[in-house]
Amino acid sequence: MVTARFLLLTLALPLLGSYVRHFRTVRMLPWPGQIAISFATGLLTIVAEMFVLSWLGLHWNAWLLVPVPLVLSAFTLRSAAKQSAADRSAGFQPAGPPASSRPSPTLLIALLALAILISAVLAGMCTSGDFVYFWGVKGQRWGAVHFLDTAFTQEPGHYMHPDYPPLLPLYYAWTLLGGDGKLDWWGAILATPLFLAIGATAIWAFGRYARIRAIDGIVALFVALYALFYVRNQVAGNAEPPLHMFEAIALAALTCWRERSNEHDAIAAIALCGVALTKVEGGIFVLLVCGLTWLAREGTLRQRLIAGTKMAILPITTLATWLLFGATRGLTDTYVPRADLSLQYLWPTLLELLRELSLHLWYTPWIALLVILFCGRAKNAIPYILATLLFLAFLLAVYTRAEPHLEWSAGRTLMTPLLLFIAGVVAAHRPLEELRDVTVSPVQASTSNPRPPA
Amino acid sequence: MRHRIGNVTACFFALLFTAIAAREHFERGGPHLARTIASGSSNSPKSAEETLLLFEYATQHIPRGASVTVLKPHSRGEDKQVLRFSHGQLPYHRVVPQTESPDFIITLGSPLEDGRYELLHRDAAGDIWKRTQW
Repeated sequence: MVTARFLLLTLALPLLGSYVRHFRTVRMLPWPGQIAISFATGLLTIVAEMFVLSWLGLHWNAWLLVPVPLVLSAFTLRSAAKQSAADRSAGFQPAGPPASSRPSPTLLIALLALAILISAVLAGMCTSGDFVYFWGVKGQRWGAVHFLDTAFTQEPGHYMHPDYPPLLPLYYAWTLLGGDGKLDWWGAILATPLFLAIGATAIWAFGRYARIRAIDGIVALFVALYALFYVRNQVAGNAEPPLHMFEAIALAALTCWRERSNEHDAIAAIALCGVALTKVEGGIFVLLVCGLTWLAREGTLRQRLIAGTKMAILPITTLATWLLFGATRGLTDTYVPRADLSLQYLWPTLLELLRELSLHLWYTPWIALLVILFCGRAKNAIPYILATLLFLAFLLAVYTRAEPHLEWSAGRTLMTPLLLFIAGVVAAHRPLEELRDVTVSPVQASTSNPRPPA
Repeated sequence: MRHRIGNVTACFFALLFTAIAAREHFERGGPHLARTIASGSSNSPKSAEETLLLFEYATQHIPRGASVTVLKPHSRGEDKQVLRFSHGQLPYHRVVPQTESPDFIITLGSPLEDGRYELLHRDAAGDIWKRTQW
């Protein structure tokens, strides 16, 4: 029963988030991509509602949480057919796989890696200690009392890391809706491969939309790498998998465009809100992505800045809201500058960070990505490489202390800069403006796909 | 040509990392359905599994709403960690600090030496004690 409820409420998320199909750029994605984006949007919507209700001092229930996204989604569903017909008559062509293509054998590698991760999760060998000590505990507690219970969370004796953003525990709390207060601990760890699959599907769908020829290979590499990291670093049940899912969606939306560099900005903004609410370092990720990706946009400096600023408003507001909530409820530990930060520890920490950057794979992930990067137009990747380096500088600042102990967590924290680098690789393979129409398959070309009005 | 090199590189390394993941999975027991979520943990998996099974028993057999605490009688330095974990594994009960004298005490590793409590259940991970004297 507990498992059935967990499954049902998790599967309800794409339905509750399907109002995101209101955006034409989502409707243009292949259908697996539309489901992936709907899932992430549904998750974020429910979590945002729970967060706001808790801030208002209200205990949530199904009647408070479900109607708004359900009505929005139903309305979108009703109008979707009409909008799709209008899209077609306006010359917008959905980006499904070419009709002549068979399932790519490259993607079978991704499926195999995913199967290994699922098998490892079922064997109980990926379960994180943090999950049983606080992520799952917070989720279960909040779900039982139908409230983001800051009193329980910040009780010093409970060691619940009160300053950690609330998205994952709120997702767990959502899966307790209508239950008796017991979390499905198995379901929670099995959500890890689901988050990876959603993130990979989003990259694949956006890549297909942008007609990036290397996208199948890049997705296979992404899934294989992150499945390996999840098995090795035991992150099942932790916040890293949803963090990477939102990061992957945001970066794919920003890098994979076809007509205008800002065409997926709404999706990127939604996903960045998820990043801000998932982990502390997500805040830095949001600032870096908002602060740097406008460099990769097209247009004049003024146009790029305006578009970048528009995209940044929602995620920065979300981040600020969470920080304000934390500040007013005394949940600010991590954000207070550390007292033992000292330059004398910088050099040894840097050396240790460089060692950890090997990812215990002899630096091969970086080497592979560099090779693939230089097979495309490396210039496109500059903002993402810059973001990677700045994120590493942030990690260096965090770890610079007398006993940095990078071996405890670098395996997990380094997955975010690696993802930024992967985004750079994707950007490098985006076809040139004049080549985009050439890459359309004969089947698609015959249906004609005139450029939509700017 | 360059795209093809990029694709081949991606596929080669994707296969390599998948093979490494498979090897690490098989080195730690390979595909099977674990009895608990921590049965395959890297730190003393047997002990973690037995502890979770004891908590599962406690969840089912201790009356809902009863006050419970958990401790390791010969390792009291771990009280805080044990309590943290217990909040999640005893969803229907009121988990209280070890300084209190609750309705039930779960001991891990060694028995309780407190005359007010009598043994209710014993398994490989520890015991469940019920308070009988006030």
